[in-house]
Amino acid sequence: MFAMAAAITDVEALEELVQPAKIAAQGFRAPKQVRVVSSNDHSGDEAYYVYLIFPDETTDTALGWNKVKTMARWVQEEIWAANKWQRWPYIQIKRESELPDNLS
Amino acid sequence: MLRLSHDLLGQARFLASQDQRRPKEANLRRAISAAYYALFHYLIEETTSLTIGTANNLDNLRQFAGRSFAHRKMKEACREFNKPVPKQILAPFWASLGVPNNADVKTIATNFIGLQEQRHAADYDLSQRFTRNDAGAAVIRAREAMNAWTRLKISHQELATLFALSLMLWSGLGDRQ
Repeated sequence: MFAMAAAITDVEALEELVQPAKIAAQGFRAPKQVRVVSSNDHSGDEAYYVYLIFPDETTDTALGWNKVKTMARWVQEEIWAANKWQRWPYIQIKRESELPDNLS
Repeated sequence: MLRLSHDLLGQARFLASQDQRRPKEANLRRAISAAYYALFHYLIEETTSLTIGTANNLDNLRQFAGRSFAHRKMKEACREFNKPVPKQILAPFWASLGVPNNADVKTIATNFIGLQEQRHAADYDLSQRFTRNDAGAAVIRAREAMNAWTRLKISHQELATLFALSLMLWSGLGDRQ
């Protein structure tokens, strides 16, 4: 019998799971940086905000939803499963200059 | 049939494409909000049609049932449909209807949750900045969820009905084991 893995809730450990190199290893265009922020969503539920941060020079076309969605879903599923389906991971695709002030 | 969801999606697409050189923040925010409401009303229209019927003389009953939908409860139901093991009340259906492996139900649920959060930020959070890409993505994700629903309804009717009932009844079901 395998012991059931515990939920990962630490943001740094979650970030580690979806680092750019790991995203690239899945065959996706990797962001420059990944940040995970623990917070509450608009209805008060505990949640993660996962920022996939691209360089400012990345074109609109490269960041279009059809180009990034498979990668975004892979990241989302990794974080959702790692925390044992407790806190929803909201994926945010941003350029460096588009980050909220507290993350810049 | 003229549908509110269709008009809202068109409005979202229109607003997201305005001001080619320098998009106005207000248009981008309203585009995101309209994209969410397009999906919200679409799911209500489809759910009530599926469970009550599509005949014109049932319009009042569909509208009556439509009043039972609550944003937060719909989000909670959508989260449940993204779990490999759901609450006990849904468990009997999970394996038999193939819920965990159904890409369409996941697309609908995931996009609904994401759009709802984004809509709230677009309408109320002035500290967030939105780009044309954000608005465009919201439109695509709403459309993507609608297309997924169309496929689900045709290919997995029982699962579509289970999902529809869950969206409609989660206010009563969500607190049960």
